[in-house]
Amino acid sequence: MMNKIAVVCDDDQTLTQIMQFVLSKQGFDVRTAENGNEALELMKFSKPGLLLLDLEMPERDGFSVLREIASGPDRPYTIILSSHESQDIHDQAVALGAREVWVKPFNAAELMTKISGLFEQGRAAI
Amino acid sequence: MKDAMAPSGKRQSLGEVLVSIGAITVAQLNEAARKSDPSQLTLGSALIELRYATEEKLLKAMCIRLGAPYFATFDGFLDQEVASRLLPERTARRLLVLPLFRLEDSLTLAMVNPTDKHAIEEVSRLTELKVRPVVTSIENLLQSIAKVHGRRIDQ
Repeated sequence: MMNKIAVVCDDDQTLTQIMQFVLSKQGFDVRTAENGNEALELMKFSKPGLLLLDLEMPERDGFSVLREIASGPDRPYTIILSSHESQDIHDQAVALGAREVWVKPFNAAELMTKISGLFEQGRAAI
Repeated sequence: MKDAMAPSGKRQSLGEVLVSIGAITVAQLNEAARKSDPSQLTLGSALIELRYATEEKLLKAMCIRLGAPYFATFDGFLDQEVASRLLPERTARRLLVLPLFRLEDSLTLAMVNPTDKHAIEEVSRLTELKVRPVVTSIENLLQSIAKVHGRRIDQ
């Protein structure tokens, strides 16, 4: 079962805030990070059940984080956030352990539906 | 917000984004550009006047250009307390903004034009919060301001 700790890692603070708001409404304790290094540091201690991870970030990008956590235990249900709709990106992310790839920017209603749907459809059991 | 970048590394113009998402053709963009002056709002107005684009398409293109989320409605995202108390109705109408929700020292603010730095600075000064702008249509914004402040909405 997934624990109800989520890490949202994106250098876009507007989007991070929206994700934080939606996930909090779903009962998650949300931690936020602005780059991959911060996310890895947070994940060491909080052991999240859910990770929303931007691909394009300064310092350490999403692929680098995926590689780092790929072989570890307790890997969170990971959703990649990408600004580019690309089959290559999708395939590479999934090969590294991501469960879903969402393309930005989001329509807010679509985002709410996507996050609610994660649990309602049992894709990510809480 | 993260900008949509052209391959050159420059931020894409609104017109370029509209063409890239297939909303208009290059010929339609050129015709609208000839009718307008260099400001993008005027380009948008020209596109609407020529019936090559709707306000909805322009807003979506602006969201892609700025990397900002688009709110067709505020269902599930509006904290009534925050929306009604942080800004007076008159200010919200003048600036065309509506506070949606607050997390710690940041305020998510719905705007028709998220590049309006004057409005962002004024809201930030009045609320003493960091402003995170998101995009909505003018119809949704005005209807929501009316609802939040308890006015009857004539459809």
